[in-house]
Amino acid sequence: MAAPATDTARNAPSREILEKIFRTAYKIRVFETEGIKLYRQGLIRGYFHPYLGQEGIATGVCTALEEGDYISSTHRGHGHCIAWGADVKKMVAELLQKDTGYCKGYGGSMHIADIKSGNLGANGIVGAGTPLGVGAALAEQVKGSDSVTVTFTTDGGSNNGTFLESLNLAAIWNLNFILVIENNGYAVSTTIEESTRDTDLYKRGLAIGVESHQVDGNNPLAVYELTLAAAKTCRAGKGPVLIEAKTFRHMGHHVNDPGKYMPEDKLAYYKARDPVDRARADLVEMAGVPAGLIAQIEAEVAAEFEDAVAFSQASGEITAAQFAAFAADY
Amino acid sequence: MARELMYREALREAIDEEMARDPLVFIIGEGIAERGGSYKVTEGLLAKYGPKRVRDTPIAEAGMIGVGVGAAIAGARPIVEILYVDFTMLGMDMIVNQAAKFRLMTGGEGRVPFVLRTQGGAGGGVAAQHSQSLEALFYHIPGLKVVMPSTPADAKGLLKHALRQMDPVIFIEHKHLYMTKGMVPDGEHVVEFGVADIKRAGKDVTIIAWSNMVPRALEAAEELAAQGIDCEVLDPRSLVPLDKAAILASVAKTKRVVIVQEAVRRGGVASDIASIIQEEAFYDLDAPIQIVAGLNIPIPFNLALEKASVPQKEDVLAAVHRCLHLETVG
Amino acid sequence: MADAILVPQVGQDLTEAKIVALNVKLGDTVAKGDIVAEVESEKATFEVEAFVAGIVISLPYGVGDLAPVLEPLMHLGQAGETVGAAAAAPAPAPAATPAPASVETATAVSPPPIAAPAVVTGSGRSSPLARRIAAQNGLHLNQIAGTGPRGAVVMRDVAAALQTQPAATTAPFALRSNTTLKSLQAGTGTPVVFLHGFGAELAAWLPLVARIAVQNPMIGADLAGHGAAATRTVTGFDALVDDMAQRLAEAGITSTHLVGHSLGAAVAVALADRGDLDIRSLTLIAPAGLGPWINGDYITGFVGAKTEAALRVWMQNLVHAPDRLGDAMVRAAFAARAGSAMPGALDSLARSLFEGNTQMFSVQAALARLNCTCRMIWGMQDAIFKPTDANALPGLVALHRLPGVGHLPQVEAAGLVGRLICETVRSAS
Repeated sequence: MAAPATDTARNAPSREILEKIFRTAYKIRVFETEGIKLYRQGLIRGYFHPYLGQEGIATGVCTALEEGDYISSTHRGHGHCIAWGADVKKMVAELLQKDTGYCKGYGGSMHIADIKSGNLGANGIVGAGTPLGVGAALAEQVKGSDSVTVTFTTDGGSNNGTFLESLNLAAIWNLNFILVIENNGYAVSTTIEESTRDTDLYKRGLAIGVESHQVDGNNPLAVYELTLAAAKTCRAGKGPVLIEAKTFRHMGHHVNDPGKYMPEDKLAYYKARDPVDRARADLVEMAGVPAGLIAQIEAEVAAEFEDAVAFSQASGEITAAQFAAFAADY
Repeated sequence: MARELMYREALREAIDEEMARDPLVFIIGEGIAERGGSYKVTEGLLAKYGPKRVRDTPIAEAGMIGVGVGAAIAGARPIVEILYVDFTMLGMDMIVNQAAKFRLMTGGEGRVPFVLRTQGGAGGGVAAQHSQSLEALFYHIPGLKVVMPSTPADAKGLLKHALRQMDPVIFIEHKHLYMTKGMVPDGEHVVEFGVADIKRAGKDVTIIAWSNMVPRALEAAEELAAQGIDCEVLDPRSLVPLDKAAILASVAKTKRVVIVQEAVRRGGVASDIASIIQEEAFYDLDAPIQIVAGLNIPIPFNLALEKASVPQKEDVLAAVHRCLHLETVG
Repeated sequence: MADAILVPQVGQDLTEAKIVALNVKLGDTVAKGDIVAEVESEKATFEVEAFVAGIVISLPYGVGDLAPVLEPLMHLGQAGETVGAAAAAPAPAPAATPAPASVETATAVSPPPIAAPAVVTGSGRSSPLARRIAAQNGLHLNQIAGTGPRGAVVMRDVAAALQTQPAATTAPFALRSNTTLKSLQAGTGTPVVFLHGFGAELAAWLPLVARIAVQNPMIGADLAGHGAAATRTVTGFDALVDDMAQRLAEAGITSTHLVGHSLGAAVAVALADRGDLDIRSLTLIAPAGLGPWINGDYITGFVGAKTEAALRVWMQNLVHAPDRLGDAMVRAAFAARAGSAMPGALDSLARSLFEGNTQMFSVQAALARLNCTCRMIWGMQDAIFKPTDANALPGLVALHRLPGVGHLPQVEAAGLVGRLICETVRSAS
């Protein structure tokens, strides 16, 4: 039942882990940056909530999870999918409404899911992913498995009633459940200070007897290590665990929101503590990898995205006949 | 062979048999474990299946329903018992925006085999927030199955089927039916959705009724038989899917239809069934379709007013007379 | 091949964006990733990035202009290249309605054939079942006493009527044939008489008749000077109408639905106006006699054509899409003239009806006096009359304007015309 996590001495992470963290964070960065360009060209329609600036959280959390675990995500969910190991091809195809997308074009940006891999899906209703995640953790407990479910929610989502209801259920049933609050300071454009009296959201877990921590969300390695420990706690039957990860968006709520309400000095502060830069620096400094390798990873990631766009553009869309059959059976 | 069981015993048998058959079936609800539920449906299940699969919950309907939906997405077969259908309103986001849409949003990949058991209906002066008939709300939402058994045999068979199919089911029992008795076939007894049952065959008028309106319609039919009017009582059993073919076949035979629902008249299921009949069997009709429904009003506490708010046998008699172009008998 | 840099999508439903900066001019070389412009939505300013490299070869907008979202803001190409037709066209942006599958297409079912017998609607009330059973047995509901609510005829009344009286006679209509009238399809009830246009003959209706799902007898009539009546020469519109009235009387037709095309439609209106026939309904297809103008060149060319090839050229004027004029139609029209009195009769009739581009008769006043169900069908691309002739119709007349159709709706939109005739006849039975 600890307060803000301190940097406890641990074994230095392996180069493999550091490389995975950098590659993942960078992949999210490229996906969002290039995705916005596709949006501007009219290739992506509808809503698009970029994860820019928050990459460290999904990256750190998902790197600490294992096969058989589950995640459920938010409306700002691209980063969680990618960190979970999603196929960028199928993600881009979904955003381009193609039948080769994760949801065959039925879902779109806010509804990407991949049940088979344990990704229970993004969610267009803020806060709704939390009970769903607790439900998955409950299912796993009934099945007798020791898998862990992580739900990503937001500071906005933490003010929804289901936050208490479902975290409390996880608590009374000791579920293997980790609730990660990505506290980026804004619910759309409303600040956390306007939304709640005590902006340290991890305390809400403490209030109902849930082990709770606060972590710098822009430090992917710290998030990774905290999640590793939380998962261990859960698998020991002492879940759930709440993690509040502090972060800040690099732009407005969605792709057409300029975010004018975000103070420039605060934005500059967080951009100077960019999670992708941090992951790159960790890889260089802690694992001693040469600049050439960094460049190679970045080139590979960029090429993967370009391939995904080409794949998507060559893909078709659900036909009228397919849709008719689907609708008739619904 | 068959035995006589009470409605609640038949429901218990269904849950018991399915829990024994499938270890993924579990049940959560308020006071369902030690206490055995308000209507004794779950009595004895805790002792038999243990606290992992039979769990009491706090009073947190949104959380409970959401957790059930999440567990179903993750592959379990949860039953969530909500004490009164009135209380499902607290969990409507989870039912409407999550459970019902999940299959579509995931392009057909994700399924939600979630069973919400609840009960509705007026009677006994439990007043406005514990007496409603809300099936139309669920009927309106694509993706939900809506089931309303009227007899012990149907209750058992339909609940067993609910626990074997892949979509979210809103299973609405009736508070007045729990103590009613009926013959239930021995052995495996499963009733598929979308198959109406002719509770009484007749040739002059088709009375379509479900849930507690079925015994009321049968009572009226007996009285009409004494007047030489031969009514057919058709119970759709599941409203979604609806056995349209059986309804149209019955109308083709009798040429006259009375639809009886306990729910309020405005925007009800009866109106939709009437619309289907006029569209597809217009030239079979010898009289306007009669709808007997509740008043457009919340249920009052005063017993006389409560009775005046929902259809009574006399209302059914009058409607049958109207569609036979007979003088009404008062 | 030039590449278009599009005005970026900067809002979910924004259709135009304001150009607030252009960082390039014509002829500038642009590298991939360069910021070439800035556009403004109602919320903010967005940079426009070049997604390819190239030289600016088109720059249609200036700073301050409003530009449509997802249309080209500029084109990049090679030195000396111009924006070709293909590149100048709007980039293949996604369709405005992004739904991949059209629901209408997915669930549309072809309309069921209108096959039910004519439904009898008496003055009183009745149940749908009573109406259906009565119609099937040839009973008129207004002859049955209703015992249902407010006197409605319900099934038990129809059943009683069927028991007390033999099924109503539904003997086929007996046509006393003459040289003018010929049965196109046998049936029962009030006959439907078809009156063709100038230069045609009754056989031309046969393909359409197959598409009209009524049980009434259908009868074709040759106007004087046409087809089998080619030797009967008349002069002037009134004489043409009188002749037809006489032929109908000879044939024993006292009550009828009329379907007319062009000149035949004008004759139909005039017949209805005489008042001596019980006209149940009129279906008028591209009727003559509404406005003053007619394509006089067509009449001259059509009447004077001496070869099948020449006739084909003139008949092309009748349809909007050339391929709708089947070879068989031209051949039949030409064959009808060979060795018959028709060319001479047509020539003299035309002289008495038309003068250059002027129709010398009008049925406008008769139409205004009309007191029966009337539908009018016009091809909006009619090249013989002006479809705008139908702009001022009496309120009783229902008008169907068919886009992409010329002077022969019964050929160019045969399914629809067949259906409309069927509905007219059934509604007026």
